[in-house]
Amino acid sequence: MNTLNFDCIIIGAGPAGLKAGSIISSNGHKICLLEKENIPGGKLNTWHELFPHNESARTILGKMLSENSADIHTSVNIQKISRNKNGFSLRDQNNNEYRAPALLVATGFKPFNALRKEEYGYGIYKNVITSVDLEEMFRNKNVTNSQGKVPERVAFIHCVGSRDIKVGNEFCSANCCITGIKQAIELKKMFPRINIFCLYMDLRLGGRFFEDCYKTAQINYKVQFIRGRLSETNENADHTLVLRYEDTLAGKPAKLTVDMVVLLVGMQPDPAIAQLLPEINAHIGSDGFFGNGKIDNSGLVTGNGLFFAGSCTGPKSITQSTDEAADVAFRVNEYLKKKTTNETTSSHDRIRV
Amino acid sequence: MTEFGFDIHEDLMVDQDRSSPAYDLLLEKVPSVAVCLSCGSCTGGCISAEMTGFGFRNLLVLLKSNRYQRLANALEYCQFCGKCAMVCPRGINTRKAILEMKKYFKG
Repeated sequence: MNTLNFDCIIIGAGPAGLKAGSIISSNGHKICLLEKENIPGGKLNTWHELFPHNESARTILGKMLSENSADIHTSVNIQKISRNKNGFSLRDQNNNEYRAPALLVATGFKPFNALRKEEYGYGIYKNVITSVDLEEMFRNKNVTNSQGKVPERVAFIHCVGSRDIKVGNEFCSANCCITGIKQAIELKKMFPRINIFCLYMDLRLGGRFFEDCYKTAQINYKVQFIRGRLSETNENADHTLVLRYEDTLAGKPAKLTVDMVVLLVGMQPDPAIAQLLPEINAHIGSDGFFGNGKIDNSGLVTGNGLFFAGSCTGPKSITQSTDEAADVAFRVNEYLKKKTTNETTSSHDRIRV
Repeated sequence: MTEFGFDIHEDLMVDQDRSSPAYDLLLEKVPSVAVCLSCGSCTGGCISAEMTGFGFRNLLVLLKSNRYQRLANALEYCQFCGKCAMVCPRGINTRKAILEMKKYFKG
């Protein structure tokens, strides 16, 4: 049981937390990063290669960690967050106390739990996997279906847990389309003879070079894009899967037999941290993410020492997360500078009196 | 009607300048049809689709583009099982919409 004092505490040592941490500490502030997993890096640890340029996730994470000079406390489960006039006080599972005038929440997102879309067959049929599972297979360099064979026909299902009122997520997760295309290309590079089908509603490839990936998938890798949302998955006796959907461009009901289905799961807000934050309701949008998503959010992020960065404020790619983290780090610096100036002035005043 | 010995087929061009009174009426009765994102989940799950080509998404297309005769014929295939409503990611009340369309075209 220790009490530790810092200038700023960052919850979450993923891309946003690490970026903000390196900037805030380079400005001479004492910071610490609290991470609930036993290794830093957040969701970067679950990736093999990153879109759109197929950079190695491990290399990127190594770079981020080497830029970071602050303490990273791993395996920290925060039990309580309270606030007093000096700032925030956090307590972890071992009763250690962390104190700081500023708190930056960079807790990221949670992948959608595909079990909730029962009709897609995740958790029921072994050959239905999620994009997270596939990424793990890439990392282990072992992509096989449940029979231990290399799949010959693979279907990627877009918008699983996104834009879906039935699971309560009406927002677009923005990164699954490009993830699917990246993974399709990666699969095709590993197994040139594989047939890949992407079942999409709208391909939302808004990021820079994302459209290039799409074109590459079409021209060089012959990935077939079918416009239609999956209705249901059924399994044959040989563990192949039959997908039923409508080919909406043909205007006809359709079926497709594949031996592996990859569900491109969306990004969801992580409610765990929200429950701990005092007086926080005003900071959560209707979609469950922090902040209000407005261009002018000065009303939310200044003045009270509580800051948010990364994908806990909405679905984001890594570059978007680190960009936001850099911006928020700047505001944290301003806040800490103002606070120290105020404190020195007031103590000075006291001495004079 | 004079018999010319040949038929003129229906106009194949969608005329977006013509309004669709039946669609406007349906929007009033079932406002949720406005949010259809044309994903085709309804048709994919439909128990009639395989044999008849029926699908809720297509009904809305016919309705919006003023092809009422085809729509009235297509409506006959619905069995009101409600699977389309179950899979719809936008939560459209498809059964109510089909019922209202049936009422409209039966007069």
